Amino acid sequence: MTLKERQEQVVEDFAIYEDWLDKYEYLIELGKSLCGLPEGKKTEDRLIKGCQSRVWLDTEKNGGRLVFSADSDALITRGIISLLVNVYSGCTPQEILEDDFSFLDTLGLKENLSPTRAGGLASMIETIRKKAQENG
Amino acid sequence: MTTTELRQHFPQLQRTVYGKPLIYLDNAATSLRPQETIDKWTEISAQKTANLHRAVHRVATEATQEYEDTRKKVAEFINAADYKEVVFTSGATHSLNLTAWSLGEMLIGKGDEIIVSEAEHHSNLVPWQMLCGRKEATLKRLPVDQSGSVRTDLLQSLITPKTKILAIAHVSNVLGLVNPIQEIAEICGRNGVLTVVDGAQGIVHQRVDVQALGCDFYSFSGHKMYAAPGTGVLWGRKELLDKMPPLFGGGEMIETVKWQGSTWARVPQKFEAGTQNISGTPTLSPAIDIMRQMPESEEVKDYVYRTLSSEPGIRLFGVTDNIKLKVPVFSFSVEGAHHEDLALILDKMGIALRSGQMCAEPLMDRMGVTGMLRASFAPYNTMQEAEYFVSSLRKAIKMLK
Ligand SMILES: Cc1ncc(COP(=O)(O)O)c(C=O)c1O
Repeated sequence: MTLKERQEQVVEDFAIYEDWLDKYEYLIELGKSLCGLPEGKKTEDRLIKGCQSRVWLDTEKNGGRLVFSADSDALITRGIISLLVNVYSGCTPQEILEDDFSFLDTLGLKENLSPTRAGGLASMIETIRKKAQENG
Repeated sequence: MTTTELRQHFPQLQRTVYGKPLIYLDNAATSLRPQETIDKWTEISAQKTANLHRAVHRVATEATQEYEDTRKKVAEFINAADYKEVVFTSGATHSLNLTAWSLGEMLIGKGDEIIVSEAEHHSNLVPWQMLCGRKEATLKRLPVDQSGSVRTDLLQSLITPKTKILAIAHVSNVLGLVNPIQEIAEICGRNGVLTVVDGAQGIVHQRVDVQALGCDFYSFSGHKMYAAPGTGVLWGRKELLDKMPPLFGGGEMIETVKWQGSTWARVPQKFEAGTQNISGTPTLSPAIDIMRQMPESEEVKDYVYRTLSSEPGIRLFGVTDNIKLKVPVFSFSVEGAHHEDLALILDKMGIALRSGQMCAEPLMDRMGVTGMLRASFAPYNTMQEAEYFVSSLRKAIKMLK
């Protein structure tokens, strides 16, 4: 699947749930299915600043593509970062830098998170873009 | 007044969130406003706007009357010996910073000691840290035990001839426990230590009699006690306020101003530089009126305490043998569930409560957690709301398992 297709898939999956509680349930399930990071990789330099709960993002380079893995101590946050990892892991830095992350607006995540939470989402996006820049 | 009658006074209780009735359980952060507070603010804004004290015209006289009557009302409410001991501020944070700065200038020197309890809101910790930094004084910690109770038994042993000030909350905003201020002030008084009390939560739930408490300063915010935000009080003993230097210089706080220097007005004006919160501060009057009529039933508090303290998987902080010494502020954590997840889910169920560190990081460290969930109740919260909260919490926990 291409990046666009993966994004469309997420938007489609998310749209099935009308009620926000159900959307949360979906994010929680996503969070649970994320394999996470070993304790040794939950380090200060992988921590994403600006989130109320702790979120770690690990980045590896594999044949010109970026492979992300992530973890969080809160499940909904884990679901959100999992969603981002599913979409962006395997992309080239170029693809990430050219993307405008607008599929997140379609999800309505930002409006439905509290301002601190929305700030956390912005930090996640920023970190992914920064990793793309560093590896571009 | 019954709870049902009381609820009629608070318009925000009628609103919905996500199509569900709003269950407001974040009262320790800020209370809702009764119509009387809104009306007072509107009345002054619409009819009595004028600068206070300075002008001779009719409206200024009326506005000054509103403001000064409120001072007398607050004085009576907390049983101050003299209404001049009531200084209006913008809130507890302002009051505490004013106290720390001004007392610091007056009596803190290098090597002096200030004792602060471990359970303090940052507003009653950071100003003292700043003071200690400025004066090379030492900050000493009055510890809390595993349940969060302040170790009053250790106080005497912490005091040395260098100890000048002790700062403590009347009621902790996290634990909801009422500290034995009388006993603490008595120990401090005997040792020549001033007692500064953060009453931001205490004023809401306790009948406060500053003379009976025996402390030297008592601070609180209007917005937590049903008045307008941006209002607050610093009460201090007159003989101390008289001697303390002002923090802000400006209009109204002076007696004479000459190029060579100025002299200060008397208290409380000495501490009220600049144009006062002319619309906001008088809302403390209707707020006090409605507080006096609030139902005193402890049914909701007892129910929530009983339920949360016996619920498997829930760790309730601030447990006590004597429920009379706890206000309806419940902070807890849930095994295997992050406080932020729970708060997000409960929000979608229409319940407003607080998650995180609650402006008390050292206490979080002491309790060994990164954050907590806090449900704080006001007299307008009903038993049905409490039951809905408990059943929603159980549902949310299940979702996260
Ligand atoms: C115990 C305590 N102290 C101080 C404050 C600070 O009050 P304000 O933010 O109104 O100045 C609060 C409010 O959160 C509090 O709960």
